[in-house]
Amino acid sequence: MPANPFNGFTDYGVGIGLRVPHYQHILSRKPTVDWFEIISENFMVDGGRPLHVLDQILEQYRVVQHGVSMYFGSADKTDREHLKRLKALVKRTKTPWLSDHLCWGSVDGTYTHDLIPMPYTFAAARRTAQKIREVRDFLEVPLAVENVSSYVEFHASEMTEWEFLNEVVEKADCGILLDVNNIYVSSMNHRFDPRVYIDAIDPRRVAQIHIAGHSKYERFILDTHDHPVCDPVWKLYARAIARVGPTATLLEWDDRIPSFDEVHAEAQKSTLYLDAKKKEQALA
Amino acid sequence: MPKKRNRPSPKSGAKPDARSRAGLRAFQATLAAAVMAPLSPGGTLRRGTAAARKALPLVKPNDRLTAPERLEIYNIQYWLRVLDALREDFPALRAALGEARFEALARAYLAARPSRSFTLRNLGSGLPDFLARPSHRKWTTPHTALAIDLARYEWAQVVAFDEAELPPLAVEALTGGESPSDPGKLRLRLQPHLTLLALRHPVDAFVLALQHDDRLRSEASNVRIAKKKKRERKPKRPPLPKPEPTWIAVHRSDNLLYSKRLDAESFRLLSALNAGRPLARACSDAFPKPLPKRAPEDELERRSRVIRDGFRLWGELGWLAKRGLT
Repeated sequence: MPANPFNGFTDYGVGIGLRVPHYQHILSRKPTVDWFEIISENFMVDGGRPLHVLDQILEQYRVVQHGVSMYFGSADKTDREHLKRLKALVKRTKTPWLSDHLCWGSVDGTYTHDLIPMPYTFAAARRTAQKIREVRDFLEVPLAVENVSSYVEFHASEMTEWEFLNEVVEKADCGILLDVNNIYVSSMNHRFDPRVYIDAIDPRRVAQIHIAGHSKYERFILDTHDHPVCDPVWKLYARAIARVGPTATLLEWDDRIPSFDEVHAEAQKSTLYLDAKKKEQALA
Repeated sequence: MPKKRNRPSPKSGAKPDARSRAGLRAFQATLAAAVMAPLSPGGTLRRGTAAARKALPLVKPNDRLTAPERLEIYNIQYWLRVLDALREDFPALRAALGEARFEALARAYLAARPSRSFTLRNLGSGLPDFLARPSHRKWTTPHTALAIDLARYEWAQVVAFDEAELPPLAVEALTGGESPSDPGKLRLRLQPHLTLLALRHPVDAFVLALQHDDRLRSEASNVRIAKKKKRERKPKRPPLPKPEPTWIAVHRSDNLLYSKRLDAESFRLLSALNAGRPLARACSDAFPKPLPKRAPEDELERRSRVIRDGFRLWGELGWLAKRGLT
């Protein structure tokens, strides 16, 4: 399933997150990379170096936008000014699809700047799906929602996280950015079988996959994006690829960022699984 | 699709019920208040506060963590995130106040003014005003005036980094074919990335000295790792600047940040232009004192030179733009 309506019928391969410590390396050495994922909010500015760098990147590379502040799950109305800024960036980058998180994080215009999990209720699913549709209609670009890592569960929940994800994406008719590291982190924190999650999602809606590292503490795991991808997450990734097919994959590394080459090499490990699946499909 | 379970009837005074749209809003408001509530002096969730007491019944415990412990993860992460953002944007203020006082100030500021923007970039926008309130001087005494100057200067740097740049107006445009019949009536504006600051301290030199020290420490970092057995000495902070009226323009050129010292007359002229005063009025605002009775032509000539040289320089730096453009 390399191309589907939720990733703009693209076949993007393996990308890495565009991060400030790598700017100089990328612009001077121009390494071969399938695509870069940018954090939309870092470029929703009016001028200066961020946009200057982005324009240089866009001359050489394909870019996909990933957001952290749309808060599809917040009960607040969508901020039109925010959407206008985002649409201007969408026009600039020509991103074939756009992703943000299935979570909430703001209340009445006050921002926590966190990705807080939803209470998995039918009312929340309806409201979230409605906002996703509004945003997609305004931005005129396919949308994918990402499952978040979580450290908390709520008494109000009426279904599992993966049931909630399916409920939302079906109602919104949008794509899924499947973060297999987040599934692993949440499965360890809430003691569920991550394979059940992978097996439950609708493979036709997966537009993109995220992989990342995390930090283990005594009684919980934090999604810190500051380590290489661990073996159990690679295993889950293999399961996801087996189920979904070769899908655009992105390595997130946001803290204690090593050299570009190290990040790139870690991301490239995913080609092993992608190529194997492609070979299998070709033989079939 | 999961099966819908029967919803229990709501009770008055019951906890927010996320199984309705109105309930979802109350649910999120309750949790957000607890997530953003100040931590205890030990850096943990304050379990006895009204915010925590309301939010905790919404949270499920598990076999390893109690409900307060799970909520605490978000509470701690929130404060780490917002404090880091302020530390990053105000390094000189931090150096001037010291880590402990800066952190106490930052916590008080963030508790009073939580983020109202989708981006952490705007988090410190209200810090200069916050510092200026008399009741907030406990974090800055005896250096309150300096702290306000530093906060204003460092916020101006944030603005200079990524604010818009309008098509610059060449000085020739003021006198050439594009100018109106009476250039004195022309209204100009300054680049949005430029901030004019009238300060009580020469903080630009202090900030530069700090950055220089940082660079030296960075250059020396490999040596320090190699000699890890030696005790690391705390870097000495440059001396705090003494009071001295200072006028500065913080701006961007070729995507690099600069601060340029101005004289008081140029500062007044630029401020008047940016406030929308017509060119002729802005020029007269720059020189509030009347001409001397003795040899007024010398002073007039000096003033003309200040204006002429100023506009030439500001034109070269691309500071001037047409009003009405956004």
